[in-house]
Amino acid sequence: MDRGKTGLGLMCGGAAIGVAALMALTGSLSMEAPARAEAPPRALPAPPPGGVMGFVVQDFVPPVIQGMDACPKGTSPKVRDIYLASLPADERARLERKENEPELTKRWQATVFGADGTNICSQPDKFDRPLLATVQSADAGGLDLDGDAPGESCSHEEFTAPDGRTGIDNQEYRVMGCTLEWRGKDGIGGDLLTGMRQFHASGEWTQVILLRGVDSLENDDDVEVIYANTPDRPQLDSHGNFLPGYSFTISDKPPRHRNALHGHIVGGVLVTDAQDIKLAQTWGQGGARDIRGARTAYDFRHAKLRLAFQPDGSLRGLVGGYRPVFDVIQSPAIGGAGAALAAGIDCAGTLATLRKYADGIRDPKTGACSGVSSAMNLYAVPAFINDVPAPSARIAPAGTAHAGNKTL
Amino acid sequence: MSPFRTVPLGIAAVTLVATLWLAGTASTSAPVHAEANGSPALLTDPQVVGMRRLTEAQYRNSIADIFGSDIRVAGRFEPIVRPAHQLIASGARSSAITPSGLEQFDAMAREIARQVFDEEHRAQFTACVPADPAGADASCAGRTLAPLGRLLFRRPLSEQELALYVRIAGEGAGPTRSFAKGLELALGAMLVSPLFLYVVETAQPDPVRPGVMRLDDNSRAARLSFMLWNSAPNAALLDAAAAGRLTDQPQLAATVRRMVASPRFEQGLRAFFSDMLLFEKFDELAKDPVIYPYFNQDVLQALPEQMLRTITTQLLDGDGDYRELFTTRKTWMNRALGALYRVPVSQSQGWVPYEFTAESDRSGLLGLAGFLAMYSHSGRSSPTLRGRAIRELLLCQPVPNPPGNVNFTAVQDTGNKAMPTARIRLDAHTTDPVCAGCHKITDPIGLPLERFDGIGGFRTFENEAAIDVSGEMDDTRFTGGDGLGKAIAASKDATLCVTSRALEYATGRPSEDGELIERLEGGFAAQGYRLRQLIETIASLPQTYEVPTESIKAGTTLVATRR
Amino acid sequence: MRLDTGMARNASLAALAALAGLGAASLPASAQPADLPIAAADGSPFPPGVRVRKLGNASVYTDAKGKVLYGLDMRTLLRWAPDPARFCDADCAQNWTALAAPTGSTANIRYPAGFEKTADDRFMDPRKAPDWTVIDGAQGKQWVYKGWHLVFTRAGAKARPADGDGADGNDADADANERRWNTLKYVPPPPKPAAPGVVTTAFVDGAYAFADREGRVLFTGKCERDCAWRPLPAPMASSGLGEWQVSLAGDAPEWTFKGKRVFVGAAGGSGTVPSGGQILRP
Repeated sequence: MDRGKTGLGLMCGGAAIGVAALMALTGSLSMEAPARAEAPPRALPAPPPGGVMGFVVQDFVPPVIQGMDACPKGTSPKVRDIYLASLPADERARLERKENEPELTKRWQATVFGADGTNICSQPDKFDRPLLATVQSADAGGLDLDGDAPGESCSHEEFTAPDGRTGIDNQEYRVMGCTLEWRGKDGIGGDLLTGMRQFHASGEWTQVILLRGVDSLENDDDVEVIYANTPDRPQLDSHGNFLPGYSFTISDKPPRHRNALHGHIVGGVLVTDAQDIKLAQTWGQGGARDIRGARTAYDFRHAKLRLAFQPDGSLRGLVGGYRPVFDVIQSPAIGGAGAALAAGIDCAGTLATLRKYADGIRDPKTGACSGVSSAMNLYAVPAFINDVPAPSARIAPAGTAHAGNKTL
Repeated sequence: MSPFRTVPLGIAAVTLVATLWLAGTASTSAPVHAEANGSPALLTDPQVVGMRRLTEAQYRNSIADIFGSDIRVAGRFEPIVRPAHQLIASGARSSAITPSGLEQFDAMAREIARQVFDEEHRAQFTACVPADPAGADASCAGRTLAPLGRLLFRRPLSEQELALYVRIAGEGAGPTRSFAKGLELALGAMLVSPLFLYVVETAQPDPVRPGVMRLDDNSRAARLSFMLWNSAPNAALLDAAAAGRLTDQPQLAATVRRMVASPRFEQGLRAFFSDMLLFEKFDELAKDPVIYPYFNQDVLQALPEQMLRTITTQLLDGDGDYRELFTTRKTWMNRALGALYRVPVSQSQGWVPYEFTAESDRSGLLGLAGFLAMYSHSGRSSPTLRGRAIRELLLCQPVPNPPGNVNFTAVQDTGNKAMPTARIRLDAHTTDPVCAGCHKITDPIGLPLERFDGIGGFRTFENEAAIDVSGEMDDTRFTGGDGLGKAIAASKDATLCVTSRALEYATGRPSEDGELIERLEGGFAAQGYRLRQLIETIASLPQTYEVPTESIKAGTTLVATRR
Repeated sequence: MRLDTGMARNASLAALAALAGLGAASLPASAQPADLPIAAADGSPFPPGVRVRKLGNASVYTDAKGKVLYGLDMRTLLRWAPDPARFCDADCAQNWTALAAPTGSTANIRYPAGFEKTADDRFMDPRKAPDWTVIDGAQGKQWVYKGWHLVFTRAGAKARPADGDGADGNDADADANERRWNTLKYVPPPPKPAAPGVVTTAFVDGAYAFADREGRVLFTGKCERDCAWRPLPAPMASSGLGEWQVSLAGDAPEWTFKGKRVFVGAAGGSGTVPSGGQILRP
């Protein structure tokens, strides 16, 4: 394959990739049981000369484990069903008849709104709504977030990962895992996978991972890990898989972030030390609110990466950390009444459930937790990653300016 | 139709009809559509010996140079047909414009004229303030249109021509009550005139050699400007032509030297190689997205640019040896191409210099994806197409087309495990005596490039069989792209070919003078195969400006369509 | 809960669009936090007493007494108040004083109405609002900057210099504070000098400079024989435009500004002007 010298030393730590990695990449992208993904791989190639490896993240999606034992009562009810459930049996039967559907619609939609023009998604703190059904099974994907910092979390039940690891903290999954958006219909996940893949392919959220100082893919106790955003878009093949071998340049200009982490590799698995991780998350523009004005982001506190090297050169694993509870409902909250009316999402009930099961971001004074443990499955394919360019004055188009100095 | 349409098209038609190949007397063999008060502008002295249509790039460059790069040129350019085995520069000499093509030019012309004389721009291009901005002003219109005409027609306007355009401006200003609108109409008429759309070559008798015609100063200015800078002659060149400096050999040579040394020469070199290497075929290039997912629009746009940058870097920046174009490993990369070649690119925007390693087997232009993808099929590589392209483009050796009854089934069966590589699949053609005649010329040259697939991506196996890259050209055996590059670099046919193409590019007709080409190639060799020097030599050569006597034979030929 | 399905996302986006009964329009950058691009003033007159004052290497708006003006971005308040104009009362009003509109003003803007209500002609669309509009706020009729930012000063007798963005926010979430209270930064409206079509302006290092259409800064300086500076090409037929004249000296005509040669910088900011080059400003 082509490897070459670049002219004029322009590459900062040129990311060369081992020969094996770029030959016929066979990684498939179904929602397999994480067990296969996190087991130590059979035969790993040597790291590239220079110890620099780059990856672009293709899948960034909550780790949902299908199976009936998770939600024995089925997926969480929508606002309409919550309303029906609150009625006496005969009234419920009457409204469920087809000819009464307009009346039912009018009445359940009215429950979305409160006094003074509030609604359960735009102002979820102001409503008192029933809690969601939580995940009942003992298995969840995720990481042990509080094992190294006991006393920093609030009491909660822990899961077991499919590969056998115990002490898994994933309260976000406990609360959200039975919602239709997460679980899908008939036990087949996939909506999330497709949706998140679209966001990542669009270039607005593209995440890349840059590893430096990799001496061995099996064991290495000092690896620099940069986990960052880039404005460069990935290219997809006709199946929707990201094509390996593209070059991406990291950007840390808002709304993008660059996280510099420290990790070590044991038995082919890279784990980073706990640190806050922030990544871009934007929800488009339009409507009454400029979403970028709201500055949403992925905000993982005390977060870690756990990534297993695959023989074909890809990375498969998880990122986990504590998220402020409101972040979890940020998207439908932005959607406002529409999220409740059209998608039937009960943002207020969800927020209340999240608060109840919050296990992280502990206030030292009050001891209350305002965050939930969370994890995302991560799958990344090889790419060339250029780190942040040297700082230089930014020129703004006519009519705008970069103020630069934060403390005015 | 409004006066805005009929008048310029009418004028265009009149002048088209009226511009002829002459044999000393001005005669027409077709009826002339004359306007009520107009008269056909017949050129009798000096003699018109050729009309070469502007290419799209030359048109755009001319407008950008004359009116500024913020003037938008939008429309579909009727392509110039390339005669078989010749350059587009030769095709331009006999290129007609169809009525629909002229309509496109007319639309472009009116849009350009509208922008030039709109509120924002007109102060720059109007030479004076009219007496009445809502009416005609012949004197001011004349003072404005004369310099524009000189730049557009590449020579000063004659009195008749100026009067014609001033009259158009006046007739336009009246009904519209706007002096600027009148100018717009006149400029639109100029832009659709054949005197702008074609480079009209005029000749005069050679004072030194009786009986021989040579191009006059104005034609030399145009020829030099389009050949070396691919754009309209600037004021300095037009002044030199007016002073007769371009027919004086030492001054001509000095002018050529200056033009070749200028940074603007890069545009001319790019245009020459785009013509010689048939870059118009990139417009039709399509690949199967399932087989080649790395091929996309960004890659398609980058492919010719990569080749041109490689060429200009080698030949201009380094003033290097032409033959090294087939052996150099230095090139340029951008983000889209980086993925195709699987190499890192340090910038997300723009081009970075790049050098291939020795193991990459990429030597020169033939190792670049532009060439390899162009001469492949949409789903597989093609040693035959590549070999043929090398023969025809680089060695100037035409290869006949395949006969109509060829059975391509076996060679198209790329998944056949019994015939895993293209070499094996082509065996059927190279061993069949009917086919072998041509295939023996092409396949042994294309097969060494088989380590590059249909879009130029590197591979060492095809269907799990190792790829054999041995090849042969004219009794020299070699392996791989490196070997092929060296063989071409060592071949005298390659240097003769570029010499003859350069001469053809300059004159707009394929050269029949083998002895002249050999002599030029000798000089080329003596100067280390520096292409800049070769082009400078050709552009200064008196023979380049001689008009072949066939062009001035008796009889008339109508060279353009009539409305 | 995160709305990740395509359908739900489309629903919420459709709801967003329906919220104001308007289609999605592209927005100029109008957030005031220091790390985002600051939109230039649109040239409309300031409210009575409002001035501009230099603070460091940037400028901010102040009231008549010199107190720095702060903007409260209404879009970040929706969680706490369905009508964000009403947000700052009681506790908030202890620390922040709204910049009151003159008595007798009528409100001409409001936060876009809820889901079912239709658009009202009396109120303009915040996305297309001029710099200064009046809203009916919790402390009475007050000014709004660029459609979204309720204008306040810090309460208190002394006019203090700006404490920086984000101070005194009430949220436990530091980022929310940062987004919410920000000094109102001033960037002058771009000049419209008489210049050729290829020349535009860009805000570089605190003032406007000439740039080409791709945003590359134009500069001048001494270019010796072999310097690699790229001149700005001029049309051959142009007779110049005011201070911009055409020089026919070289192989291609070039623009000159006030008699000085004009060169084009590399892409990027003022750092891309080579040493020895001076940026050209209108």
